[in-house]
Amino acid sequence: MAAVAAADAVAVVVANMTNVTTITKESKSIQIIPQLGIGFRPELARFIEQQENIQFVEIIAEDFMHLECIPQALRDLQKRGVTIIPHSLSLSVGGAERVAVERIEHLNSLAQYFDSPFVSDHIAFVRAGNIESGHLLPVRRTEANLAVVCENVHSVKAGLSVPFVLENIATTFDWPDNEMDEATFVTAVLEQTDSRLLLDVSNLFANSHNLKFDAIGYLQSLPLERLEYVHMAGGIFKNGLYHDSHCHSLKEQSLKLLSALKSICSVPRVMLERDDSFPDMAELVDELEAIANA
Amino acid sequence: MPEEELALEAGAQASLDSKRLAMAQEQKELIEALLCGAPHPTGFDSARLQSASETLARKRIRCMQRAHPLVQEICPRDNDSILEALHQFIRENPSVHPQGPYFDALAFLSYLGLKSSSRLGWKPSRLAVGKAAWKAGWTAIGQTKLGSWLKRYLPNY
Repeated sequence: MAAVAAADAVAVVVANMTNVTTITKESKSIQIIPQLGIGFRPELARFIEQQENIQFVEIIAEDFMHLECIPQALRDLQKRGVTIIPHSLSLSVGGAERVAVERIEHLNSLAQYFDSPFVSDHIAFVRAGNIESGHLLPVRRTEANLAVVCENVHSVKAGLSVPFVLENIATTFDWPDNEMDEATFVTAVLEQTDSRLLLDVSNLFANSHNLKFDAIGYLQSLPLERLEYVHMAGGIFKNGLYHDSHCHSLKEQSLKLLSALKSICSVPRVMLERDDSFPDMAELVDELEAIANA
Repeated sequence: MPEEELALEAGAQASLDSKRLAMAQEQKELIEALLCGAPHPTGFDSARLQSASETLARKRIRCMQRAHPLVQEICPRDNDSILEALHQFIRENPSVHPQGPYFDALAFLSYLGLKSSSRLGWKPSRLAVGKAAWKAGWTAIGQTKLGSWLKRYLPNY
């Protein structure tokens, strides 16, 4: 613990293993400075190794199907004290099919290997009728489907030794005849299954733009006390729609939403996702700084 | 557990199973519309579904290119005529490989080997494939001590 005296306000900075808390005496408010992270991709391994301020990395569970093939770069990060969070794309908890036990076991084995504090996946489906979409698709938001999603999430949680965190997805289209809005559906899943929240702020911006709803209202209606971490990614506007591509630069609108989120709740962790068209290091550093300072 | 409670639980499970069946049907219709060219289910915005369908195909191609260097080598992103081979593959194989993009890419390469001359009117040139193998070989050497030595003493390596 270290005490730092500033000219105008005296702040006490409490550092611990998980985060840094700044307590400002004037405002009596407590602001948690989020841990900073990034999605681990082989193309970014060298960059991540060089960033001393990276406190956690998220790995795609399906990229590491065999524990004996875990790259040295990840093991080195772990030795350095960087937290590794397994993130799955294929459980399909929003699907009508029951979640395959092998997928849950694999996710859990990664959590145990890396001593991860939790694992995550999406409120979405990726397969139906023996077809794999290769992409996260939205669930029709009805009471009946909510019951199925919750049963799926319970089955995943039963097979995990760590907490399960669920993410909102981006989409350019929506189902007809939804019985509730997205925030209500996400909240119901989290509360009925006692799960944690991975809020993808860029996905939220994408959906609020594409489906025309108020993003701030959405934020305010979420159970933010369940917030575990935040995703930020770039995208592109095309033919009036916003595509959350993860291959383009971060957009100002997403950063503004992140800033709004930070103003209404404590954000424990925030991370950058970049999946392709990797920019030079300077641009990535700028984006990390932007999400840290939003 | 008392008999009444057991009956209630069985009834709740049966109700959940029937919800699952209805959900399976609606999701199957949507996924077939997006990936197999099936008619769009009633009530959807057709233009949005069409756009999503194209986005999914582009994403699948990008994932294959990233997962397997040979796909990138023989189907460079800026070559539309060769990319058409990938689109043809996707039309004939709407499901992404369940084991992910790398296996999807392998399936595509195998598809080219089996069908390229008859179906597509195009086949990967032996030169392109040979070039890819040559490049992969040199890249592998580059990771070794010999590679470091070559890089130090041969500026053009």
